[in-house]
Amino acid sequence: MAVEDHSAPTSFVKKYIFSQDHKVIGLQYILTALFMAIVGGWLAVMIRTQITWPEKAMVTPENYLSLVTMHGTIMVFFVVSLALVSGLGNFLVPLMLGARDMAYPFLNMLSYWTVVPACFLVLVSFVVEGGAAAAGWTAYPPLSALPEAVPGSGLGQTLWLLAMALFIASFTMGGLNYIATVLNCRAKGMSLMRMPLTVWTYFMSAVLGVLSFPPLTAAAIMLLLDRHGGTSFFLPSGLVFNNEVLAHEGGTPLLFQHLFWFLGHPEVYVLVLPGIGITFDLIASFARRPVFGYKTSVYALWVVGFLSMIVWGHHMYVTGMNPYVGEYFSIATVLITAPFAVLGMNLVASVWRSRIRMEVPMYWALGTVAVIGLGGFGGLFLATSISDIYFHDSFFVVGHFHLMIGVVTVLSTFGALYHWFPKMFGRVMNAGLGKLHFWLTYVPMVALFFLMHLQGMSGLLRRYYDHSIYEFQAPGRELALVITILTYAAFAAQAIFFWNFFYSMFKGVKVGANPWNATTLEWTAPSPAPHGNWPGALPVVDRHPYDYDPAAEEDSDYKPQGVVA
Amino acid sequence: MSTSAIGLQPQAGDLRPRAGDVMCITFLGVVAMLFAGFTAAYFIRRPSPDWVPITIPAWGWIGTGALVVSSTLLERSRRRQDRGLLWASILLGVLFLGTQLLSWRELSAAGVYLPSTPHGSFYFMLSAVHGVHLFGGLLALIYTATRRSEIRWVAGYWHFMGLTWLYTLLLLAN
Repeated sequence: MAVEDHSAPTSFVKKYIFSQDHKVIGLQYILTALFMAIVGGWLAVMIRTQITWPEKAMVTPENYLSLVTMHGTIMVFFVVSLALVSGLGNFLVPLMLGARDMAYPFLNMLSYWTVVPACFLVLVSFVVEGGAAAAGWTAYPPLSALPEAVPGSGLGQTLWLLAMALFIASFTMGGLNYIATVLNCRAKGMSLMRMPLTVWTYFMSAVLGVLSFPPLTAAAIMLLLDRHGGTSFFLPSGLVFNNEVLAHEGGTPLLFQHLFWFLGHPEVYVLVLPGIGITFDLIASFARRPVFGYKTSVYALWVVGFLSMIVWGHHMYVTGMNPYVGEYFSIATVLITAPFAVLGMNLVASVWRSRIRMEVPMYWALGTVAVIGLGGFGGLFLATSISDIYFHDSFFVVGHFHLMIGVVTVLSTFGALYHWFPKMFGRVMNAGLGKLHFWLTYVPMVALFFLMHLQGMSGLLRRYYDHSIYEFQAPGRELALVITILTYAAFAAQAIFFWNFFYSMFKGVKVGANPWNATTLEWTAPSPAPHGNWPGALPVVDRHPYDYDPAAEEDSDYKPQGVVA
Repeated sequence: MSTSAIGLQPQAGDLRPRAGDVMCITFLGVVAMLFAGFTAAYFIRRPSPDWVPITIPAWGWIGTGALVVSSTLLERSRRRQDRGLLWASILLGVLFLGTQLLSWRELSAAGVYLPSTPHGSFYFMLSAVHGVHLFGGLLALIYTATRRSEIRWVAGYWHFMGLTWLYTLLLLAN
């Protein structure tokens, strides 16, 4: 079935809607994610507004829980996963490998059209009776397992589960496709160790996704049966509702947590690794040097990937696990710093003493490197069970994971969009607006999540509707207003991006095939790349992906990875 | 560029695995991880005091036999290019789904329903999850038989489904 025939489509529907072209599908994902990002961002604005002025009671406590839940769900699964992993991955992987398309274009189309109804269900769940799901993006039972628990545990939670089922199906199809494409569709001469690091990270991310999502599917099936089939996989005995003891007995909510985090932790790396890979490629293009330590980076990726699958328990230190188990999870988690330090140092060393060209994508790439360092430090405190017991469920955690899977991924996504925009549309985005967008996004986002660490240290707890009624949380609240203003600023600044993106799509300055003088294979294809990516024969690869010569003259310091025969 | 077909397969003489092989093996990995998740849940749930063991229905074992024979016939049909045997293998697959329904009836006749005991819940759930996956394999086999398309990967999946059921049954029976 693996694509013998792939003629260019002629009708509008086949070209732009039910397209099997990886570039169109990639853009469909990105546009869907941008739309969902507005929804998810607006939820963040509402959350901040509520906890800053709790006395105004802008939303009810039940709805507040829905806001928190849906913000997390939308941002993790329907923004970052879709834009960075499915969207940019679809666009970049075949182009960077010198392939005509993904290995299975029909499956690719199917995977996009499976996630569209999932987005629809997520949006619809806001207006059903009881409102959207309210058990947190982690959907812990019993809140998620008892339809009568809170209003959002009813139809909203059911729709949440259905949306997640569709998302998992879609993401698995995508992951299978990436793996098959990387292993099979590389151009002649493109050995695995000649692949750009971006492709390596997408490959790693696909492997992790494919291995870690199925146990969550198992958990979701059991949760569904607990909700609608009367079983007790996760529900303990003695739960009382409306003065009635429920019939459930013997189950354990901890089981769900284990299964959830077995996915949940690798999922972080599914999202972050492509961000790091993209950053490597951006840095090479604008530091005009081969990335430092290509091979060690590839090995480090594999170590990170392996370790990420055996450390999930660090999300559960306060659940009453055996201290020895906690000790194991602490050690394993802290071990990740070793390969991660390799990646971080390689990123920094790639820039060190280079002739940096400060084009717009480079701002985002350097910003990403800085945040990987800053966010990573917070991780040390949460990896160690002793300090995590204090920080657990505080804003320290919120600040930490937002820096890592919020800011790192968002910065690298923006960097990638500015960088590969010419390949998508044959035009560049406006540089002045791009830099403005960078500063107005970077400063408030990093500042606000950094300040959340401080709030958490002073004991401010997350997911609270109204902190003001607890005296011990008063010190943490002092920063709330500043953080909220920064949130508004970061949210508003995205208008610049949207304007720049859609305006440049039609009116941007036209550029040639390789506006950045970069070396990876996609730049040998015309901009915008036609159906089939290369009009004639496929390029043949004869060198490593980052052949820059720092000693050469400015415009002749690079040799593209492939020659179009 | 002409709009005619563009070859997407790698060049000849290439040592890389076939896309279908990669796809098939990775997908088997996905299914294996799904059942690994259930296995973990099974072992964590079992020690609790409300665990009342059930007797594994006889129909479950009979169905296993049907799957073993089905896989054997499928391999023979592959070797001999015999489509009659392929259809026989498909028929046995349908028969297996029938025996699964009978095993559910057997359990409910004994008073074991989905929520009755966790052991029973696992039996119903795992046989249903497995059944859905097997049904997908059945559709793929029928597609292969009618379209005469390549059987290699479908056969791999079918054998794996047989093994998965044997594994599930042994897990539940021990």
